[in-house]
Amino acid sequence: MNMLSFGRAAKRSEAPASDEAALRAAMAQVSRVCAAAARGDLEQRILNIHDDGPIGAMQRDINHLLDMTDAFVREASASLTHAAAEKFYRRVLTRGMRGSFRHGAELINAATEHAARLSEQRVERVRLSDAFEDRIKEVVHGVASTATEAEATARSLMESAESTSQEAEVAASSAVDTSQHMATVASASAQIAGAAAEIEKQVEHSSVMAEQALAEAKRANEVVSGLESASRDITRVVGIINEVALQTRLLALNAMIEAAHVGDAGLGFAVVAAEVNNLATRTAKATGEIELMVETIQTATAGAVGATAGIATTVTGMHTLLAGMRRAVGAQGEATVQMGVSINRAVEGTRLVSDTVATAAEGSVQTQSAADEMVQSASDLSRVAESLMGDVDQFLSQMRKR
Amino acid sequence: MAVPTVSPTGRQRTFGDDEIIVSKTDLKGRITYANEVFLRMASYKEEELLGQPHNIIRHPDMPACVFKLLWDTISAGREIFAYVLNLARNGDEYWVHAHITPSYDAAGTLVGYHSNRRTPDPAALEKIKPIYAVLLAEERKHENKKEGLAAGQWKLNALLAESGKTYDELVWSL
Ligand SMILES: Cc1cc2nc3c(=O)[nH]c(=O)nc-3n(C[C@H](O)[C@H](O)[C@H](O)COP(=O)(O)O)c2cc1C
Repeated sequence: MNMLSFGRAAKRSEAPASDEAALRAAMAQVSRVCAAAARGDLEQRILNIHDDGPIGAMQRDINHLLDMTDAFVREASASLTHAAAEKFYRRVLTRGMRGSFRHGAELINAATEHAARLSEQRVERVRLSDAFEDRIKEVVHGVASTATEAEATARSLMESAESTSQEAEVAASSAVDTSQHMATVASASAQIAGAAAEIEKQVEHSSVMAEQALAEAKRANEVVSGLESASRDITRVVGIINEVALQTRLLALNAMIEAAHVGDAGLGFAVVAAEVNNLATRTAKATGEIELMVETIQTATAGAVGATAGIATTVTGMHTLLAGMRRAVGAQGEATVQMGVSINRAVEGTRLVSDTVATAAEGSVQTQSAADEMVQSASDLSRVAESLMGDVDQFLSQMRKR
Repeated sequence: MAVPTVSPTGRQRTFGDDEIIVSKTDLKGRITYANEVFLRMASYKEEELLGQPHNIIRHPDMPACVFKLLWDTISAGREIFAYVLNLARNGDEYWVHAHITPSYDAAGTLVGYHSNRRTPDPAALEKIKPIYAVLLAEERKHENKKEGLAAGQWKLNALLAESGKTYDELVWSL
């Protein structure tokens, strides 16, 4: 079951006489196939090989050579075609190849191997570039967005600082106002305290005066009382005089009656008696008038007594009133002093507030300028980030080139 | 069509690592050349093979979808590698690592096909055998050959999709 038996069978069918013709035909076929192969046509083979001898061997060897050459060309072409398409797994199969064919195949494979490595490196480079690009873009975007955010923050900071500084200005001026008002109130309260002290002094003075008035009223009362007893003495004396006058008139009347009894002798006596009667009458009349006057005096005195008692009562009441007033004024003064202290403290506080506000205003002005700078820096940063991105893009496009 | 009627013996034949089994066909797959090693392994005489369809050495255990892929690939002008179990005239069998390529004339016209077969790597064979068994089982589920072929192709594609490899990558990875 092999070529040899087949070859022998074929040979057996050939006539010895045609050996030379057969040889010529075989040689022509070999020549044709080899010429075709030399032209690059590796499809031709010597077919129908029947000879078992050296001719057959030559025919088979030529086919074998062509097969090996054909195989090498197909393998090399396929491998290189694949390698060109970056399919480096397609290697030249060395199995079944020997000598120079194998060596050539191995060289091609080594080259493919190298190309594969380069390609891997390039792929890795591209991968690294991609990763780098992703990362750097992320960072740059992060920076850019941070810068944008910072800018916005700075802007709002600036705005709020501005409004703060305006508010601070208003607050500062109103603090100054307040502190001025406070100072005014303080001085007013000091004045009040002074006035209260004055009032107190006056009240004290008034109460001394009232006391004097009371004493004088008492004295007046005493004087009036003396007047009363004097008028009582007068009334008693007048009574005595009236009695004397009445007795005198009775005596005069008796004398006149006696004188009439004596006539003419008694005429002169009668005249004297009449005169005495006359005098007594006039005395009685005068005493009556005195009595009237004393009565008037007494009435007036009673009135004076009542009046002085009223004065005393009034003055006593006034005294009490003044004492209360003095207490009230004292308390008021105390309160006013207290108030002054509080107000002074308030003034201090207000000053502190206005100082603080001034500091705040200053701070907000500084903030404003800082924010201004920040806005500038942020936009600078954005620009830098952008140009960095451009550089990166350029760099990466260079990197990715073969 | 010289479809072999011989039933497989299960006996294995081998050839040398420094040998290649060569055959050429016309555009229809009829044999136009077979080298010495081919004749020896398949136990045919040259004149018995020339002009015969290549399925003359087809083994019944080979999945049809592999040959379908083979023809689709080479008729599209591309090479294909395949592990193929062949049947000798007497029913003996032999595994080859086949490389089938289109042949062009000087003008670049497709004139036929060519196949070089080398000794298969035993480890690769052990990997491909279960795959072929699966494909064959899939195909044999169907009475109708067309349906069987379609099922085999579907299964092959599913296996490739599962492995995440193209057919070429799979064969080269074995
Ligand atoms: C150049 C070439 C070589 C081939 N070699 C084989 C082979 O060694 N074994 C095989 O079974 N089929 C081979 N085929 C495939 C056959 O043509 C055929 O498709 C296969 O045997 C299946 O037969 P079927 O289509 O009749 O089922 C080859 C085809 C070509 C073009």
